[in-house]
This record gives sequence, structure tokens and C-alpha cells, in this order.
Amino acid sequence: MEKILKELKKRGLKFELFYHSVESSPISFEQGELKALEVKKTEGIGLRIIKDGQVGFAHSNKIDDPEIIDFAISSSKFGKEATFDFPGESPIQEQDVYHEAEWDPRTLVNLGKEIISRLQSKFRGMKVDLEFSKVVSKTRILNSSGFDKEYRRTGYSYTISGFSVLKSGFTYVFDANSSTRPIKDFDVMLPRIEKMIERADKIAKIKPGVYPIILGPIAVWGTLVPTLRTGLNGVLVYKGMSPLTNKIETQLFGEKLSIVDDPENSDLIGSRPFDDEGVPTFKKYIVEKGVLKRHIHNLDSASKLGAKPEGNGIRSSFSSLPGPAFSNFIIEAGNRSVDEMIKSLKKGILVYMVIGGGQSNIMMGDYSVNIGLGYYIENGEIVGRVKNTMIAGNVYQDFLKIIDISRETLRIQNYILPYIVLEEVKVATK
Amino acid sequence: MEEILKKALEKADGEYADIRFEDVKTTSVNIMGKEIEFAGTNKSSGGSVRVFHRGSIGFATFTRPEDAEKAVIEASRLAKMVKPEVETTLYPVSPVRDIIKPSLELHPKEVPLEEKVSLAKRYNDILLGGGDKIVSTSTIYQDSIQKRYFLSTEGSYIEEERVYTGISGAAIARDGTNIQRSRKSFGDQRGFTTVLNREVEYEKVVKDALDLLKAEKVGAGVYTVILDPVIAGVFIHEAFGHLSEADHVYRNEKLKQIMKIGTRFGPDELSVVDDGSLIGERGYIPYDDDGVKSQKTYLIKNGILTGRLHSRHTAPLMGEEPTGNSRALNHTFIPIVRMTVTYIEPGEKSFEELLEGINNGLYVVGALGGQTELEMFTFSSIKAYKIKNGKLGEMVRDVVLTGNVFETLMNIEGIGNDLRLFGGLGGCGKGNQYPLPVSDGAPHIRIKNVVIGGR
Repeated sequence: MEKILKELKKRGLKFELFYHSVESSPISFEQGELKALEVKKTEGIGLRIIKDGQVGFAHSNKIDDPEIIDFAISSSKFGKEATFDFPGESPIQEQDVYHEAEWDPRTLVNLGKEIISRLQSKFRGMKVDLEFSKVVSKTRILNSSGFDKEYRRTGYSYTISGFSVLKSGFTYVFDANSSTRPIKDFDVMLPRIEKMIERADKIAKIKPGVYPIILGPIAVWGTLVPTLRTGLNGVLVYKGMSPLTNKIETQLFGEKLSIVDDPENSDLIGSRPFDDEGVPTFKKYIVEKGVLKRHIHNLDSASKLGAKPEGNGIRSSFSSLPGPAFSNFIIEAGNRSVDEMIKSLKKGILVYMVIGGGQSNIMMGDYSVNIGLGYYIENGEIVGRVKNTMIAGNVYQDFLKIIDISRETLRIQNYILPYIVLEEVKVATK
Repeated sequence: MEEILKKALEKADGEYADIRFEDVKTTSVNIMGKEIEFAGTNKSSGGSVRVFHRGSIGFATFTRPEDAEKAVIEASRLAKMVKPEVETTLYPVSPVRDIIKPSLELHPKEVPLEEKVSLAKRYNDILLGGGDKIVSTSTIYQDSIQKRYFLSTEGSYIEEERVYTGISGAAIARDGTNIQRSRKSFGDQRGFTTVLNREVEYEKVVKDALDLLKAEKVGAGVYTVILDPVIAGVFIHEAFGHLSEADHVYRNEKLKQIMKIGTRFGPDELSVVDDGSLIGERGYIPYDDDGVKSQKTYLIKNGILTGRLHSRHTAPLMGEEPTGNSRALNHTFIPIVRMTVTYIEPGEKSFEELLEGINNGLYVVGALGGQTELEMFTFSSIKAYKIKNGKLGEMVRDVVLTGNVFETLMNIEGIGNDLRLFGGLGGCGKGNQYPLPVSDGAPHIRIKNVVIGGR
């Protein structure tokens, strides 16, 4: 990288050099069988330059080859007008996100086998896909304004999905967890999965109509989350594509809903001291008691809208440009337990898994999803599973009427999501 | 390159090992609204090693060819670390030595970046030309020139140059809180000519986006539908094709029973094919990532399940033969069973004949997205038209189809004579490996009793 740096300085260019390396060692089981042991290492650089007032970009996994500069320059000829400059040194709060721990494939293979055989003994013939993964990453940013900082981060995660054939038909459940620290809560995860399958044993007949709905965390992930990821995106806001353009300080959702971007939680895999453009990060409300407080910006969108960059310029890898995104997307937990929520409903549906999330006109807030795994509630009790049933509506209308938010939450990647009870949702069924 | 990788492979400790290495040069132009977000060229290269030891797989990646040896040693260590429960072997094949070069009318490397930018701008201007109601557009040009190497301890050596070229354009129209979009993409391995002369197509895209603003939402219910070749292709790939992938089937007794060769899956007129040997299509591969030659495989023939897709790893587990469908997204992934060019073979009916006798139906056009979970699927279309008394009526929007694939295949009532294949710029996703270049297609298809979840 030094060679490239030297050449950039020699040419007197405004630049930003983003270095990212990732080493991952996934251990995966497919349908109950160990698939492979892997070690994957990638590293590379993304170079942004500002030349003649225009932004150029190039990336490479050859971190010593100055050819990248020529590619960036030729890209700048067609690049966006630079309405921002790269940020210089500023006080950065370190984040405690690097936790090295032993990673022994043999132990994990045994743990995987135990989990799989426990599930298979409870649910005969169940097919389990399971992956444990450890990721160690290093991020460094250097720019012509004098910023030069780096941090390392660990990410430990599991994802598990189980497929079984019950009397009520095919049943698919999913669970996941990620943390910067090794994960040990398998004794919580297993009962959670088991409960969902046990409840799915028989089918309940329901009529189409409007029902109160308890959306489980994974269902929230398939409905509310994709809409907000696009709606809050500062680039889409300044391009006039977001319905939230003039909605700051307005009541967007029910008062019980608060959404936080929290880069300071040392357990979460999206936490970081600065974003992928060198802007310091901090914890903040995006939606507070249902009121929209801000959009999410990178340097570009903030400059276009005259907003302050707040540390949300995030890249998916060294090969991509930074876009506005959450560090960690957290919906604040409520006070009710899920069991209390179920008891409180005379007639309703608990939707745990959805199929087809993010496919409707999400920009407008529309959702239309099939209930993959969901349960009919009558007089406060689950009476059976619903099949061939869709829920459809609009996030910006349906989430205005929130009855309750659960205290139980699920951590999926860099999201923490609770159960949400909506007063009225349209249900279509065969 | 061959020498250095071959030498590294000598260090492999297992019954079988292979190395894949790729050198990729990608040029893209990405326009959003009135702004060019990015235009430029990038290079990347890297490789990986896969070692088999009594059915266990060890896998390691590397960046520079000189690091291949270290990765071979690492992958060998991983392969031997855990004893497998079941010992498996790879389906035996004869070693291959081959060098493949594409023959393109116009190689994208012959076209300067300036020209690629102005082409993308020209299409984007057409999309923007729809007036004030067009609030944004997205136009992407992309070519990818890939030099690929495959070596195995069995003595195979395959060197291939693969060239993908494609363009996609989308228009987003808005009226108050009503936001509608339409898009179309073209992409294959035929070279730069594929992206030329698409002006008329993008005029249609912008018209659709504007018309959708005025369209009614479809009423939820059960309809007889005609799927156009685009969404019929997505349907056959997503809802059925994935169930034909042997890695899904072989460990799953229930699915094995359902996917039993010889079972009736649809009417006599229905035949479904996966064919990776179709030169020029986006899903074309001369060899798969096990080094097996691609071929035409009938999945359904005359309504009867006749085959499925295999790698060298899955074929012996089911007592069947490899079909050349072992593919990895790129060198950082282990190959798994994937589709190539998947389509429904044409029948005999004209579009008019398919329309006959439908009193209350929908003509569903284009695909926005789709998801499947086992036998259940949901797909959303770009637009649809009502069918009343055998005639096309007004446009409707927000059409989401859902159902059970097995019931839906049996409910096919008519197959058109107008097969078309589509590649585009995206691809197929499976187990984190997205987007893998594939093609899918179909003629127009008529299906009864389809649940539409409107609003």
C-alpha cells in the first residue's frame, strides 16, 4: 500500500484509501452432514479520488499495484461532482469490538452434531442446516485530509434452519445470532426453535379478513426492515425516491416504536469507531416514539441535503462505494412478554416466518408476504398453524397502529428485533 | 500459470484435489437518475484449493499464484481434521485437457469506456424522457472478462476465457405516494452486440412505469393466469429447478420420494430442460467447476420427472450420473449443484389460443422478484392485464402469485409455441452464492387456480 500512497502524494491528488481484510473460517452442516471446513482470506483496497471536482473510484486485491490510480483517474472523468471533501482527523472513540477467542473446528463439529441430533431425536427426519462462523476483519482508512486510523473486529455467528414434515405439512424454521464475542446461548436457541415446531402440529382454518397480528422478529425483518432501509437511505431521499423526504419530526409509526442506530454496543457486529469514510460514529435515535428524527447519510447524501454526516457511510466490501446504512439496527424492546401478547388476543395470528419479503413495492411501504410459519390465536391461545395464507398491507399505515412491543428480542446479523403487535392487518387465504 | 499451480497441487494430501484460479477484469457504468454513480474498470484475481479425503472436504483460498502451495497444504490439513460419518467418493471421470476461447462478433475489450458510458447514458436519457413523473432511473452496463483455470490431481487442465456483457435499465415513476417501477435487462455471452439497439425496449419500460401509476391494484383471489415467457422462466427456475438440484434431494427422504424419477409432474405437453451447453447464453458453461462437460438434461419430459442435476459429489450418492452442474460463484466458494440454462420447451399453442375461454383471468408480465421455500413460492410481476371473455383488458399492478409448485405444475393448461430465453445482468442465489450467471425461459404458459395476493 505504501507504494500506492507514495504515488498518490507525488501526483498531489485528493484521495481516500480504504483497506479491508477478512479472514473467515466457516464450519457448515448441510442437511445434518458436515459439508466442509474452510479458511478464506481476502484483502483489498478501494481508492476514491477527487480530480477536477469529480469523484473517481477503483478497487483491487493487489494492494501494491499503483495501476489502481490510473483506473481511478479514468473513472473520475465520468464521476459524480464532488460536493464533499474527505474528513480529516477528529476525536474518535475506540470501540471494544475485537475479541480473539479459540476457534477449534473439532469442538464445533461436535457441538454441531449434538445440536443436530437433539433436534432430530425430537422431530424425526428433521433436516438441519447449520453454520458456525468466525470472521476477523481489519479496516484502515487513510486520506489526503490527514485521516489515518484502523480497527480490528471479530464476528462470531451461527445460522440454523430446520426443515421437517409434520402432519400440517412442510415446516421450515430459521434462527441466527451474531456477536463480536463467542456465542454460547444455544440452550436458549434450541427451545425457541422447538416451541415453534411443536406449535405447528395441526392446521387451523381461518377466514380471510382483517386481524390483529403479532409479527415475530423474523417477520419484522421481512416487512418493516426492507422498507425502512430504502426509505431512510439519504441517497434515495435526495434523489426524491423516498416517501420519507419531508417527514422529519413527523409521526411515522405508533408511539411504542423506537429505532436506534447504535455503533457503540460492543456485542454487535456492526459496531465501529468510525464509518467507512472516516466519519466518527455515535448512538442515535432514527425513530423516537414513532417520530422520524433523521435520515441516514453518507458524505455524498449529507452534502447534497445540507445535513451533517453522522457516521453511516458503509461499504459491503473494499470493492464497493460507501452507501448510507445502519451500523446496527435496533428496535427498542417493550415490556410485554410474547406469551402475554398471545393471551391478550381474542382472535389473531402470530406470524413467525414469512416468504417473499422485500418483493412488493417496498419503497412505497407495501408488503405482501406468504405466512411460512404462523399460528392462529383464539381466545388467547394458539389453536393451530395457518397455511396458504398471505398478509398484505402498507408499513406506513399498518405500523401506525402498534398495540405492543415485546421484551423478547432476536439478534440477527446487525439487527435486534422484537415481536410487534399490529392492530389491523389484511389476511388473504384460500 | 499451469506450471506453478501444478507444482502446488503436488503437495495435496487426499484422494482428490483441484485448484481454480481466475483473473477478472470488470467494466461497469452505473447511472442513477441524472447522475453517473460510477464508470470505470477494475481487476481482481485469486484462487482456491479443494481437497477431498474420504468424503471430507477441506477448502482454502489464496490471492497470488505463488501462495497456492500454502493453500493446498492448509486445505489438506482441514480435509483430514474430522472423520466423516459416511465415506463418499467422487464419480469417476476421464481427465480433460482443453483451452476455450469465445468467438464474439464484438469483444467488449475492443470498445472504449467512453462508448460504454455514452450507450448507458443514451438508454438512461430515454428512461428520464418520460417527464416529471419519472423521479428516478437506474441504468447499469457491465462487462466481465474472465480468464479461468482449472487443474485437478487427476490430470485435468482447462483454460477458459469467458466474457459476459449486459445492460439493465429501470424507471421509477411517482405520483404523490404512489411509486411504480418497471425494468428490463439484457445480458449473455455473445459480446457487445447484445447491448446495442435496445432503444425501443427502454421506451416500453418508461411507458409501463407511467401506465402503472394509473393502473388499479389487482383484487386478491384465485385466477386463471397466462404467464409471459419472463415470469414463466423465473417460475420454472425458482419453484421447480431448485428442487431438481441433487444436493437438496439426496439426504432428504421425503423430497426423494416426491422427486422420484418416473413420477407425473404435469400434463403431457410439459417438458423442462437444463442445458449448460448452449453457447452464447448467459448460463452457458463449457465445463462445470468439477471439470465435467456441460450437457442437456431433461428434468421433466412429457409431464414425467426424468432427471435431476448433479455434481461429481452428488451423483454417486444417488446412483446417477454427473450432469455438469457443479458451479461456484467465484474462486472463494466451494462448487455446489446449480442450474445453467433452464427452460420449459415450447408447445403448440399461439397466444390467442391460450387466451380462449378465460372469463376472469390475468395476463402476468415480467418479474420483479421471487422467493421459494420448499414447495411454496411467491413471485411478483412488473405488471398484469385483466383477461375478460378471452380478451386482454386494462392493466393492473401489485400482482403477487403464490402457491404450491407441484399443484401449480399440474394446473398447467396450455403451453405456447413462443419459447424465449433470458439472461440479463443478475443471477441466481443459493447458499450465499449470488449472483451466479444463469438463463431461464419459457413460452407463454396458461395455469388455472393460481392464488393472487393483491390488496
